[in-house]
Amino acid sequence: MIPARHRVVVTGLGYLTGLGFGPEDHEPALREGRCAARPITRFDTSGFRTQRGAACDERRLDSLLRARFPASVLRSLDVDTRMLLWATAAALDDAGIVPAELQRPLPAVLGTTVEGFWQSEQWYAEFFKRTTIHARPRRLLQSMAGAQAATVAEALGLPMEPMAVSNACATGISAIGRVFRRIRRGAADIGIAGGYDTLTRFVHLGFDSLGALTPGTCAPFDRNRSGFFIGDAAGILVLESLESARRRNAKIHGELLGCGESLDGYHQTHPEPEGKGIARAIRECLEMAAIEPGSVDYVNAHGTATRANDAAEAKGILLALGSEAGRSVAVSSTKALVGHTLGAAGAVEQCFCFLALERGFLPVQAGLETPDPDCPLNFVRSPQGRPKIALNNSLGFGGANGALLSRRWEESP
Amino acid sequence: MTVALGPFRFLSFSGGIDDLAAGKVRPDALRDLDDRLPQPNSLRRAHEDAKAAVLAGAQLLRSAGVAASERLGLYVGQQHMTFDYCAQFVDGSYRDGPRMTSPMLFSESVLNNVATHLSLTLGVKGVAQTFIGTRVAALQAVLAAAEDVEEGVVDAALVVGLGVANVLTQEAYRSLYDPLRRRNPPGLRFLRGSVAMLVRRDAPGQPRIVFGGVRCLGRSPEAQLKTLASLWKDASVRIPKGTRLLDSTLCLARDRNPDPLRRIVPTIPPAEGLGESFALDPFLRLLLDSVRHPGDEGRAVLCLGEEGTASLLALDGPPRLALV
Repeated sequence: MIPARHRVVVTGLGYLTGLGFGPEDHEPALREGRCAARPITRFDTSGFRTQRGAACDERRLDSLLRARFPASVLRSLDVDTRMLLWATAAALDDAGIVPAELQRPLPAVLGTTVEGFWQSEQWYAEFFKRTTIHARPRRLLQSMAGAQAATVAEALGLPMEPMAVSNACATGISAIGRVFRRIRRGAADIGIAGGYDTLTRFVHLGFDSLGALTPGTCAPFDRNRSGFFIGDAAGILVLESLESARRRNAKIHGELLGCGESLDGYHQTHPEPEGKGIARAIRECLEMAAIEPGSVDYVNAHGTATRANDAAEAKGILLALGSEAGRSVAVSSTKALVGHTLGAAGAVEQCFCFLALERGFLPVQAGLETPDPDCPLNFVRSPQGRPKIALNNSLGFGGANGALLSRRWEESP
Repeated sequence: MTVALGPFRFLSFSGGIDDLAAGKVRPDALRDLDDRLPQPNSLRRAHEDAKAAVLAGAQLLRSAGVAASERLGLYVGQQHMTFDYCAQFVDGSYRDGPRMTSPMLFSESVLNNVATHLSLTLGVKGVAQTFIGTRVAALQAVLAAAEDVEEGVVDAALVVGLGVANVLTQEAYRSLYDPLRRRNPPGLRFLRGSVAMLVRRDAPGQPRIVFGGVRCLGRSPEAQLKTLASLWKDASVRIPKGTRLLDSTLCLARDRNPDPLRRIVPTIPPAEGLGESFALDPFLRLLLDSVRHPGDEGRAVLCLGEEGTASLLALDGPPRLALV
């Protein structure tokens, strides 16, 4: 790895989930452990094993977008693109970046695991339920991840160097990591990165068929855990070199220190049970940041509340941080609150990390009643705490692992 | 960039590069695909597009003498997911009910499924990233791999680009680009296959990447012109004179909208209708050109995706096929 040329700071955050929009909606929910799951109304769930999910408030989303964009821009946009558009606009506003004033296209790595599958789903429904003559083909083009980025670029007048990355549930971290490394080595001053995914019939059906969705409460790391629910989310971060942020006099939310990625090479859907893959990603992250394992104050775990994931991740944390630091560091999975947001997970969970670092609290572990002895970690029971360094984990299908390390902003750490 | 690209291994369900360059189509080219796979049992449920990608990757690593390890990265670019399984999954849920659908079809439908099969079969344990959603996806995969090799995230990268098409995509694109002829549609051809290539710091005999870029300023025709102008402005100063600049716009759209590229920069149009191969197309153009025009001049390919994203990749020499 080439040495860092620049410190990388985060100057803009835009995120929405089933809990709401931005920091003011999320901070109280993360402190209290409020869960966004409710019965799904977006599609018919009759015949499914589970019927709950965490859709965003589409009415409020539309109202926020209408306040900023003309109706002609918003017409025919699906919920994926509307969420991505709002989150990108919010992040740029937060960073004080005016697209028209940009001298160069902005690197933009946007992650998704199912593209705009809402459109594809409608197309399939039209294709299978009626005849091909009625299936609107433009839906398939609109469903492509590149099409959504292009729509956002046009709506905001934002010149982009876009990449649409997909790395299962580690997608958000892969996207942020790519822009982080680019700025760190001096190949760009500013960039945007993040992820977005929606609660669609396809993904709900998929995880339902795998038996990964809970019919009750999402309780990561609990002895009686039974899985997760799916949630809408979009999370976009503006990453910037410290020099650029200073030049612009931008407000800094925090600093990104390191990124690690790895592959288990073990199974198509199951994590490697000893946690070696995620441990490798965490270690790589710590090495890049030159941070000792004992300095990590908080871990936002992937924590899907499935039997295999939580046990493997707990082992991975202990393996990477060591038994002492691994057992004492504060750990929680915010999926208990917002659900599994797939390609957005790593990004919105990184936004939660910055919120916790900046405002001085720990997101509580909701749903946990009896900790699983196979997961001997220190779960967050109270929001009291003032973390300085946070680790954010993601594990995905195909054994994809990712980890990000971030620090509360201090001029001289 | 200071990295080399190549050698390449190309496999298609219509024939090899030499066949296609000679204007021949061999529909049985991958008839024995299952017999040639390195671990046929573990791939028995995989879609044949994924199998072709794994075979191309395996043959390339073997011929180049590159070992799979934690320091080898994996970068996949494809237009969209494996629609066949995805469609079967959705169709089954409507036909038989949600509880009767096979979860296997779901896990085979996810976007990084090809990367997963490559990783599991070849033993790659470094970074894996899949680029999806546009015609420029495989070019983006090369650019990402080049970044990571330059920075030392991985020592070498295996990049695989796929051309994926089935009855659903054919129907969608056909009805989009020929909306008035849907009851009696024209005969459109699609080319399915995979190209595998290596990105390394040092690879004697392989061309180096002298420019790689991707841009998007919007979807409208005006925005697409601005996108191309922005990309060409940066690329033109880096590309050596005499470089053969190839055109990789969407075949289906070409008759309807032939202008944007050539209003900005003259490109060499494809000579024949091989059929649409989506994300595979830019590399198919590069390889075909190197067979037909075996000079040492640089090669570049300019690709404009249907949603307005443009990408340009320039090499200081012709791409070279692996000796398998």
